Amino acid sequence: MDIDRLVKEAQRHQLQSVTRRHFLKECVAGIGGMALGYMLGGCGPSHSDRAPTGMAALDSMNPMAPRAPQFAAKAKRIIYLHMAGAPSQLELFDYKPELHKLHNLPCPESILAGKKFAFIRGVPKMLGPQAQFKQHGQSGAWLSDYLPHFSQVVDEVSFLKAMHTEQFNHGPAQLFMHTGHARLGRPSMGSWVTYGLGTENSDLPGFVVLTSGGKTPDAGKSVWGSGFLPSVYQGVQCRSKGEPVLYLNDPGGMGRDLKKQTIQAINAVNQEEYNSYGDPETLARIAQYEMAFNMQVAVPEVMDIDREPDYIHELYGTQPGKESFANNCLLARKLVEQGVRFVQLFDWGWDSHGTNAREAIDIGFREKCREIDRPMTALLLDLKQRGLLDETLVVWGGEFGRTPMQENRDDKDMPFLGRDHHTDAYTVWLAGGGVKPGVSYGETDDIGFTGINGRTSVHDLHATMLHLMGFDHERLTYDFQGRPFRLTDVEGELISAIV
Amino acid sequence: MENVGDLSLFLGRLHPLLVHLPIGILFVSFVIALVSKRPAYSGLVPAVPFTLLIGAVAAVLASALGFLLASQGGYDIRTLDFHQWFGVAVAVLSMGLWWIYHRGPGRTAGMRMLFNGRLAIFGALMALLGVTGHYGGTLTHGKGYLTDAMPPALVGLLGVERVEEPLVFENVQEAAVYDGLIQPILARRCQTCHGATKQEGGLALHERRSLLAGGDSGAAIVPKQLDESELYVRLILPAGDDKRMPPKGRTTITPDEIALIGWWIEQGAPFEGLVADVPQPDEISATLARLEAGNTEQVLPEAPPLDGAAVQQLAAQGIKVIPVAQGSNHVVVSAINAPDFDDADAELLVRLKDNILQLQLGRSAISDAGMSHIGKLTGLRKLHLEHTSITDEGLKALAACVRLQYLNLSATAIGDNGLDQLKALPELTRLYVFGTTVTGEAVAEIQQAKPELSVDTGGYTLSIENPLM
Repeated sequence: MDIDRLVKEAQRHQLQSVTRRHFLKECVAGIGGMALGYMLGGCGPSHSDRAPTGMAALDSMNPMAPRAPQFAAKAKRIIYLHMAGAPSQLELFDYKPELHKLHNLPCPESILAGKKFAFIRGVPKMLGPQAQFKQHGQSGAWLSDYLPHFSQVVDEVSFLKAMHTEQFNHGPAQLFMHTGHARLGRPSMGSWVTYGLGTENSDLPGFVVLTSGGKTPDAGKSVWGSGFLPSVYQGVQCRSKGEPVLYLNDPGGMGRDLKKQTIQAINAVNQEEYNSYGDPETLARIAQYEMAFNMQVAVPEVMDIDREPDYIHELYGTQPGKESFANNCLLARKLVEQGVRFVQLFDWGWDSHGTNAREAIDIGFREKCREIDRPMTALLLDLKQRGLLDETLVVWGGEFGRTPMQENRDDKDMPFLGRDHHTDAYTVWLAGGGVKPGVSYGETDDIGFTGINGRTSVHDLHATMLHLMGFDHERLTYDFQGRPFRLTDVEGELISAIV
Repeated sequence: MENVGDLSLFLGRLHPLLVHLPIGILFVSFVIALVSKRPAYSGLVPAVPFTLLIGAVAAVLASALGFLLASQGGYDIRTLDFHQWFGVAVAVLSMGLWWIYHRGPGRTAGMRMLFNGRLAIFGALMALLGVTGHYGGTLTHGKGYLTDAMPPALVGLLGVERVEEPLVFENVQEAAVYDGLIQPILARRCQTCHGATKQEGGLALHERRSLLAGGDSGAAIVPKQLDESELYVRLILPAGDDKRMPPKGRTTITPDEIALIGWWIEQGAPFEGLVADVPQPDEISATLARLEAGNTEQVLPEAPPLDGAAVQQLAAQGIKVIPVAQGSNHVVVSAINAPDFDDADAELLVRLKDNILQLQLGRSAISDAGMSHIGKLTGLRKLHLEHTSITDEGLKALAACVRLQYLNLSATAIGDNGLDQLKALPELTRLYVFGTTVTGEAVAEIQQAKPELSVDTGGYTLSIENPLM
């Protein structure tokens, strides 16, 4: 073998890692500074001479170690319930009696002027609310009969009735909702939060994703990706059916001890790599190996809902072994109870265009509401009775709203009642974690087409969520490609009415 | 590679230490220059340039380190600017002065003039040194560090402005809307430049009359018309706009204060009446509520530094010690990864008794015996004991935790007697007893005694049949 060539290759590799930037940086302190540095013994070629020792030091090397927020916060954890496909606010929370009167009448041209819709063409008809509304609780929140159980907990909840977004297609809108940007490449909310706070339980991932409804979100795994943040902050998808995390079990013949030794050896090599080059991705890799090892025991335990008492199964309406929103709600409670920082649920099947019965506002959509009503109500009640609701922020919403007009795809009547995608108005609710309970903020016009006051954007929601977790959204940043990035980009204002 | 970056950080931080050298040496040099005028001390004359040179070199070095420190950011730019350039001036001037002393009278008229004026220049250098030092102190200790401790007589004499106290009300609704709320905001944020002493842009905001009269660019406020009210419009200009008030570098105004000024103008800018008399949208009620004592970010007394050894020992057992906020010595302690945390371990917590605000011992092995240690954590606000073997006996120790606000006892062996003991905790507002033998009567009793306390007994159910089906 040509040893010389290998040596040269190694040298070239090493030289490539010393860039002009390094050289300039070294000049900062000046030649005198460097000389002084040598005299003080602080300028060796590697970090090893000042590598901290002990447990606290280990923690500082662990990107998932729990960290303090910028200011003392009420919320410690977030459960985000995303209804992928975008549910109709007009059949759930935003009561519009005027729309009833306009039912089946052609939509006035003035409303359509200058607007673009995903599917509506020509002049559609108005579609009155298909549900019955009543006020509930001391807060007097309007709620439809599609969510009968939820009426019990409206006083715990704060509604944002005039949310708006910029995207009317599912993929980009979901990306925008979860990463603050409609194009790929930005970190998701859960990544930002775990980047800022780490996680309390070192045996479980800090950011867990659970899906139901038979499909993952249209935007793909990027909605829980870490973008340009170190990849240790990406969401870990767990499954409520079968093995909770794929490829986590040891292969045959591999014992726990052997696994431990293997990981220790790999991590020692990686640690040396980190000492030489200081790449945070190496730390991410070390942390991932350690966590995977701990997870082998901790995850199956926390993901096992069989051992929950009957009373809890009855409350949530859970059936162990199935992939369902109910099971995921119960899992979300178990995960936050174990200190997981961010639990993201996606439930697919809310895209009620009216093309078939499953997508009909009065049939399939109503069935979806029935599926989530009990579990999401149970989730709030269960968190409450365990004393967790006051430090756990629960957020519910879709990626956009639905039109007050009936969809007329290709300018033709549809076989079932449906509503098109709508960016100008939709409802999101928040509960717990320091959110003021029983508030309804924002108002839409008489037909629920546009917010007329208290309009809140996706960036505003993000700013508010970060605030509740103890961060000024303008100061939680990450330097990438020469500038600091943040979840809210250059926008976002705290929605102070609900905090 | 990172080491060099860190080295500049390290060297920069030596600046506050090193600055004392030029201050001391130049001062001594000045004293020598003065006394060597007297014939008895004329032997000291050569010592002046000698000490001056050492002082000048020290000043140059200190300035260089100062630049390194400044490049790390985090300082008030205005003060930093003053300090930086005054510091550079000190270094340059002391070098020049040394040169004058070193060269002697010289031949040209200019040189002679400089030489004859050397003591005056030295005096100026001393003044410059004092000013630089003062700005340096302001950077490290913050504005008002000196004036706060100043005797009142001296404050009056020097006309020093004090750093304002935060605006806090006992009951904001009963405050006078203008004199009690709006005028204090204007006084705090605007009147340094637009007040009795100074009227920039012809605007003075300290009197009703002058406020209504407006300034050079027109009316400051037009009741009910926000867009016409220059005072408000200037407040909400984008940051970086030249016309935005308060200008860059001045104390900023908070979004809440801007909202209140806007609300006041929108409601017709009433000068009489109480806050409660003026109609309030929900947002404004919320903003106002934040001004009340207790609702503002709770200001905690500073905690002593953490006992590092105790933190290490806890960490070694997988117990997390997490500051409640960056830079705070108050901590949350969590045993979530230490299910075998027991009574003996609890003793370790006592070493952090002034630091622990929240304690998460849910599902741990703590029992009544260990509660005596928990009782010593008198600053405790939040305590999780759910799913432990605590009984009524153990709760007795909590009597000393008078700041306790949140107590989670769900799925423990406590009963009605235990609840009775909690009545004495003055600040307790949330109590969780789901899955215990606590009875409804006991809950009713404690809630009668403590109306502000909410007790969650859990056991919620949802009707079996769905009303839809």
